[in-house]
Amino acid sequence: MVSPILINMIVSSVLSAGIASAVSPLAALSRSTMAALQMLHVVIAGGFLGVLIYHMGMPIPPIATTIVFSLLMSIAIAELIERGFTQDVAAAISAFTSCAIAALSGFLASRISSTALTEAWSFLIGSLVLIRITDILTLALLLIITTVLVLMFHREVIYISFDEEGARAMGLRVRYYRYLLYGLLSVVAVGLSMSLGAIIAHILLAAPGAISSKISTSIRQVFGYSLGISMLSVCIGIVLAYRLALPPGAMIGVAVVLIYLVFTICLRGFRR
Amino acid sequence: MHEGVEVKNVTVTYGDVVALDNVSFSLGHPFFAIVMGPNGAGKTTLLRCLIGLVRPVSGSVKVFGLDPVKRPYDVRSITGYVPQMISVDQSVPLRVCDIVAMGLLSKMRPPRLVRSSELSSAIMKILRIVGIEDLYDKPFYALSGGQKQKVMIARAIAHNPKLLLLDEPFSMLDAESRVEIAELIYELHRRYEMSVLMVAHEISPCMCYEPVVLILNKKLYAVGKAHSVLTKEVLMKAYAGYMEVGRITILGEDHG
Repeated sequence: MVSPILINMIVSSVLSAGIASAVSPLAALSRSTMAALQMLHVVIAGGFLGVLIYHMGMPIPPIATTIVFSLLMSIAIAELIERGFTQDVAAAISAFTSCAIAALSGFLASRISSTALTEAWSFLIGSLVLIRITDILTLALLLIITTVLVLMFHREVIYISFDEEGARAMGLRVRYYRYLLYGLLSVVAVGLSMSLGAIIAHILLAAPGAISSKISTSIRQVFGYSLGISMLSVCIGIVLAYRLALPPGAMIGVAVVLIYLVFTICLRGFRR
Repeated sequence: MHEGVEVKNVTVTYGDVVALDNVSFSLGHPFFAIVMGPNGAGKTTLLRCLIGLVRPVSGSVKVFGLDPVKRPYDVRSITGYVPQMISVDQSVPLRVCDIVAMGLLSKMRPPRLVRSSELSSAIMKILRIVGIEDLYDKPFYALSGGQKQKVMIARAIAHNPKLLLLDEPFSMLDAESRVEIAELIYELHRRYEMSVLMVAHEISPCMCYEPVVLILNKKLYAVGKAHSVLTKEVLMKAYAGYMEVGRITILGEDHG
């Protein structure tokens, strides 16, 4: 009989792969992958802040604080870029601000409660082997929201990536689409980090889009390959982890690297 | 003469740098005009002013009676814009039909749902006007420079604009392609009564169409038909590096 832990692991991995395959191509095509990965710093800061606020006696669940904080920071990054900062600089500003907030919140929380830091880390850094049914439901909801938003607005985000000035001249409200993209990336970063852990979140946010955008000749292909790469990498990763008794997050990472090598070395003619 | 573009005493600055200095001119619809000037003369800034992407610090702009600062989206709905090819990210794997669809869909309200058969036939109609219907599903990055420029023009005219703005449409093209693109732009102007304002370093591909020429170097030095504007006096004022070597005139840049 298959263990419930393994079933939960497989279901959550497939859901996460679905979420990642939808947003990762948008991040890659809009050259926002580094900003997306930087969101994971924001998630950590939001988590520490959430735990601090909770221990200060305010009845606000830490996850709510984390989501609100991440959304606000994503809007701040989008606004900085809108005002002429490069994505790198905007991401750097967000990174050091988040790290400062995380350090300060962590210190203050540890003075209030001796278990606060442990709570914050366990709350933030999920693990595939510890996945619960509530995590699976959260991921399912996130998948639905992400898929709907990406289906509705991917064209505009891609048009802006292709030719931002032309998109503005055509009347697209670039600022709001940027808010939407970064907001979506931040919510996905929160969901993936809390359910599966920051390492898998890093891998799944970056790899599928980066690989698929390099080998595709149309947008439909980018999303198709992204879905295939995400699913394949989590399946291979889980099988490897189960067979070799190694951490699934690490094995998913190994699977992604193997897939990347296959595409870039063995199928060189396939690459554009 | 119908109302077209009216620019009155427009000054634009980027920080301390003056991009346009008290520029005034008016062009009645339908016009076929070229803005010439050295690098950094404010040519692109002028185009951006016309669609409200840049706000003048003083002066006023009217495009078909609309103020691009107050009503940018109304102005953009009657304007087609072809940016410099250098500002386009060609690593995004879009096909020709996707790019033309941008021009069509951008005028609809989000989420811009449309039957794919209707969209395909609208795209094909526009591609036929530009003469590249055989490129419908070709990847943009695989096209030649001239074909890419035609695709960008197709996108710009997709919503049947009254005014077509082109930023250096002849850059990075060979002589044959430059002539072909000039012919296409003039045909759009003639057949569809589209007003055309383009930025170009070289006007020879368009000379046979007798364009109105604007000589700009932060200030506007002259406006008029090419033969009356392209004089030694005007060019010497606008181009700091102007020189004549035998029968060749060199319009050098002022990098001082």
